[in-house]
Amino acid sequence: MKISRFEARWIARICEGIIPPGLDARMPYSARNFDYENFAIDVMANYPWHAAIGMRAVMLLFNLSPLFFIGKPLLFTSLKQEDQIRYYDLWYDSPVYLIRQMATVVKVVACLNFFGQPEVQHLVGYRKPNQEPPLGERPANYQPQTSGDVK
Amino acid sequence: MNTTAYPKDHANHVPAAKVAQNTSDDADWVIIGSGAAGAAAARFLAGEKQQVIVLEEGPWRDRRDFSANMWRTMKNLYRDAGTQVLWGESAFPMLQGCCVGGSTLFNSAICWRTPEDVVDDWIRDHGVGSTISKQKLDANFDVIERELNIKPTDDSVLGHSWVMRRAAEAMGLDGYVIRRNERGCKGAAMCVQGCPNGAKLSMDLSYIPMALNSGARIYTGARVDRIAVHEGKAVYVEASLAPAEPGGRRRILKAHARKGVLIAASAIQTPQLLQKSGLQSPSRKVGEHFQCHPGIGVVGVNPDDNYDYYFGATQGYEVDYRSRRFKVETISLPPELLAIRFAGIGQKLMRGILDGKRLVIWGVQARATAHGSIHHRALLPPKLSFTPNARDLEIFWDGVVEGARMLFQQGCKSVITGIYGMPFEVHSMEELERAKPRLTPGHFNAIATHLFGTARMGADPSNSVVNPRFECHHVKNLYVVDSSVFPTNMGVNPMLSIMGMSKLCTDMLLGA
Repeated sequence: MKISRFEARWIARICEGIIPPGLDARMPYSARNFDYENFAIDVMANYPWHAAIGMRAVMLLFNLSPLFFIGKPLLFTSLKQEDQIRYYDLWYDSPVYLIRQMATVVKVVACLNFFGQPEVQHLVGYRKPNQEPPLGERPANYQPQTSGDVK
Repeated sequence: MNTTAYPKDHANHVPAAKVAQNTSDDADWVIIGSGAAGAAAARFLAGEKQQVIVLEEGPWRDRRDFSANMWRTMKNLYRDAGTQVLWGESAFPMLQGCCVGGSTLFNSAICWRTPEDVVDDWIRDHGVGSTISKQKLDANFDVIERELNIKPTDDSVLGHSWVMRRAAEAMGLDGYVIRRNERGCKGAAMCVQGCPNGAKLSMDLSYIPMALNSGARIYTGARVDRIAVHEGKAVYVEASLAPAEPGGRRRILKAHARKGVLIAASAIQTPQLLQKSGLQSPSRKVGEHFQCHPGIGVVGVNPDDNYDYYFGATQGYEVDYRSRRFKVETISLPPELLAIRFAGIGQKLMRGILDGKRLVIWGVQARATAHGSIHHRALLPPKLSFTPNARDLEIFWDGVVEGARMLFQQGCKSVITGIYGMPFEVHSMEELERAKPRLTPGHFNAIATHLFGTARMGADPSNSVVNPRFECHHVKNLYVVDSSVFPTNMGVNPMLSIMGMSKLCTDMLLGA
């Protein structure tokens, strides 16, 4: 399913609210450092139609949710950073199962892109300093740097 | 077996893109699916000079396609990009492969034999004793274990699994080093993305190449739409071949089976294929009695230790609580999945992932008692239903409690259960027990693993889909060889059982 650049942009803004800068001094990156717009387009293009519709609906509802839940005509993306996190926390701990699941879907999109970045994977210790990238990630002109062992 | 070459370049591999027109082919046996069940059937039939065609819906992926990036992995290897969900009173995400080798590419290579009590139950309650016995299965397991180099995980790559092993030994628990089908594991902890070292002997590197070397052919990108039946016998399979380019035209492949059709498409796809082919059994049991092993996480935190969570076999050790219907396993998840499964967001999440080396993450795998169902719908996505019952919820809780007990024994300062309504962390067993909420399915953040029973085997046609010879009660020459036929779930990882049962079927076909 194709989505517009506009839609991709506000999905990116939502994710930036979920992983903002300054969460931990050891993590210099936030969602703003990575390309979430093209990621959102790629996700929608690869999901089956019913999952893509569900994802789109969740993102739209999530962005409009301040209107329903605090009665103010605001979008999630227009809230201040600290309010976004506090607000998301309320959703994540909601007594209503479906709301919790919607919050989880938003977290899935934000985390899949962020924690999949090689820079972030190095920082969290997943990719070892001397580790060769998997074959599928090597460019055509790749030159091996080490013996090739993962560890 | 050569595990460093790229078997997808084999001459007997026919990618859909290479077929320009509608076409037909024929063989003694047509096998639908190339996961553990289909690959084993292909290997043992082709190995006895039978002509075999294997039809695989997905492409052939290999190490050149693998990535440490989970989204890329989900697109490349997983059915529906990993979006399949079982719906009921709560949602259970479910991961299945859609590529040559199926889920064997990204499972943890765990190989346990079918427990004796399970076989006894099947014989007693479902009347399958005429063909199935522990002795026959064990003889098949001997062969498969030898061919796939199945052995306990080497101490040198136990990695993070040592924590559970130490706990089990200190507490006198029923613990086991996990047996796996691998050769030369380097402890990359990347089973979930496909082994980057080609060490895991998944079906794409083992039984499918062996079958091709014996003359079998495999079509990839071939989605089976229908099994055609004439005068009560399965005669051919109609598959549509994926277009060579996006938006291109699909072509039709008719694969004629001289002796029979074997369905090995999984407990989710097999019933749907039977349903959409108009082959619902008179018992109306196709798609019913679905069972699985729900998995729940439990995390230990020890700021004073370094567990190097990202080194070692993805899963290397487990403690079995068989009579209580669960086991606790070690597991290493890539950061994306860890973050998604980890409770909380914001600072708590970021700190948790950055402190990954201070974490011990285990999975509780429950032998749930509830039954669900799988139904094909023509214009809508399939209806995949499952809700754990009250007894299952207590099993999940029991598993979390025992996992926490081991984690505290190993010096963890706190445990994160991820159960809704509980504190983010608990610091003692007393606090854990005190915090137990009134459990509902929505309290657990679970996933569905290991799928069974949607075309179950039995002697009574009014209560089953296939007979003890794996043949559909209502269609001759149509056999189901995947875990759909298992009358119940088992409480152990099913890959070896699936291969052993598949071989049992081929033994009977060859003897007939």
